[in-house]
Amino acid sequence: MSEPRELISCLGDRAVIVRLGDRADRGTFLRVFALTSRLEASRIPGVLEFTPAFTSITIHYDPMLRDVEQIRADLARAVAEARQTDAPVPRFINIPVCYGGECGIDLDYVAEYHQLTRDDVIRIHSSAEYLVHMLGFVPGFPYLGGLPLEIATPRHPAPRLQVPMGSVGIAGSQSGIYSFPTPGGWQIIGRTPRLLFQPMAAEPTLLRPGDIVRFEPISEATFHATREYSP
Amino acid sequence: MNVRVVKPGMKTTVQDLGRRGFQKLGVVVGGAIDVPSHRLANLLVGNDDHWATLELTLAGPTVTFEGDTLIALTGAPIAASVAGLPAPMQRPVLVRAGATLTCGLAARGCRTYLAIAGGLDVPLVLGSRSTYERGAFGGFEGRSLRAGDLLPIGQPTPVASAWIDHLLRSSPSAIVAPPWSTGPAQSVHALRVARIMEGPEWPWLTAASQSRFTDEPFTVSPRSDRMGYRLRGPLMEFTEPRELISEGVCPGTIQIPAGGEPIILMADCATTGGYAKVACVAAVDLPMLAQLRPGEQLQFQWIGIEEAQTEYRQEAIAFERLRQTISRAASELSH
Repeated sequence: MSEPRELISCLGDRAVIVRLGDRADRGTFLRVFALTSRLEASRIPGVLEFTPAFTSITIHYDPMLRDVEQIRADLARAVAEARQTDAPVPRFINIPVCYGGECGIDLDYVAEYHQLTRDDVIRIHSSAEYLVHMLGFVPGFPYLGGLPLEIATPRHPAPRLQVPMGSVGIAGSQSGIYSFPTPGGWQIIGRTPRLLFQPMAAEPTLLRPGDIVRFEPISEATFHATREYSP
Repeated sequence: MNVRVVKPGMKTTVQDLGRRGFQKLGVVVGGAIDVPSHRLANLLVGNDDHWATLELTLAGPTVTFEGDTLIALTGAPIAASVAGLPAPMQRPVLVRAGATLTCGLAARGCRTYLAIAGGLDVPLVLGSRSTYERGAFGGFEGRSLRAGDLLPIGQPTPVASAWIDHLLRSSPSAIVAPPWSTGPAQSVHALRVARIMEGPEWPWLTAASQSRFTDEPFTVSPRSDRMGYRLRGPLMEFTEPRELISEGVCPGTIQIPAGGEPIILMADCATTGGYAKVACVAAVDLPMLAQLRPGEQLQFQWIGIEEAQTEYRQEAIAFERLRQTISRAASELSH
């Protein structure tokens, strides 16, 4: 069975999007990761940086140094070479989460929606392994794949004005962790005391694409005692 | 030598050319929204391109200079004065120690750049001094300026020092400037036309929407800012409802969210977006957009990618020629 063909589309005169699949699954993630690694290693002149996403990579380039035809040729070459690239060796990251109460105001809603108990939701959520597909939306915000379908819950019809920093959320079959307090419509089931983004740190984000995340339930007392940011 | 903020103006932020290399982590590029004007202001005070300037919005600040300082104002023409004397645009200007620069309203356009010789010496965050307000980091304490703020300034370059010495000697006035000026940083079009290329989701639009997109003008909504410009005008419709998965975007990308009102992404846009990308504005026309005010109109017109890139390169080459001319003028000062 052949893999889906890669599609290269221009986004204006300074960016190109390479699409590698139709669905945000693990197979597509591996292809995105392989091509991103290949592109980063190849140091194409004029390329400024890359934005890998669920099924695509956006390449940002400087038209002073490389024109659109050259970029398309560079990318076609990189795509061919990427097919030989090995899968990443993932980092395994444990994220402590205080579930429910003030930390997860939608936990009861999610439980009721699926006719489960709160403890069921916590057990199901924290026994899965999640793949970080990409970061986006705000600095350090991870989009996670692998949410067990038994707790997949649609987002709120109208977003909240402010979701607290560290909130662990569900939107359909996606899940994520708010790295900043922002408006948001995701179902908030818990909150992590960890900082997801520190601009002055050597590694500015806690998570990177390719990381495997597990959530570890902690008590509210532990949450407050270990919180890395101000309330 | 610091600069003290007496009045902050409507929205004044420290900006440079933005944060490069971290979009993969969700970090916004940001930076000056009118790049040519920022670069020209820096050029006129002997700064490097990437040093930080102040980006003024519509109504400028009032600031006091502790030492003899070389400044330049570019972009939207703003009424500015020192001790009742006008501070002219588009040239190096010496302001004497203790003098106060009072900026008023922009006569037209939206963003003015105030470059100070030595640059704004605020800490680098992820390689840049640009202000990312949403995340409250970068620039001056991650926010717009307030009354009472004390802005640290870096060391002027030898070119700037030569200008300062020359201008100090040529007049005792609190403000001294040469009689010449450069033209504006960008070509000024009478009709505000934004040239666009088709985006990956252009085929999703109905034929009627596609025609209206370039046939009819749009108006910049008041709900516009550094993240993006919302446009009022013909509502865009899709042939069928479709979900798009999040993809990396860039400034100039025109998205159609639910509701059908196009948004042009600008300097502080998020790195990724899940809305249909129907078109993208040519890089060379982004500075013109950056000077549009709410209520002003624009029209979209097609351009090929090769042509857009050729124009972009031509403008960059013209800027380099200007850089040579200004360097020559500066080196003649010391003779």
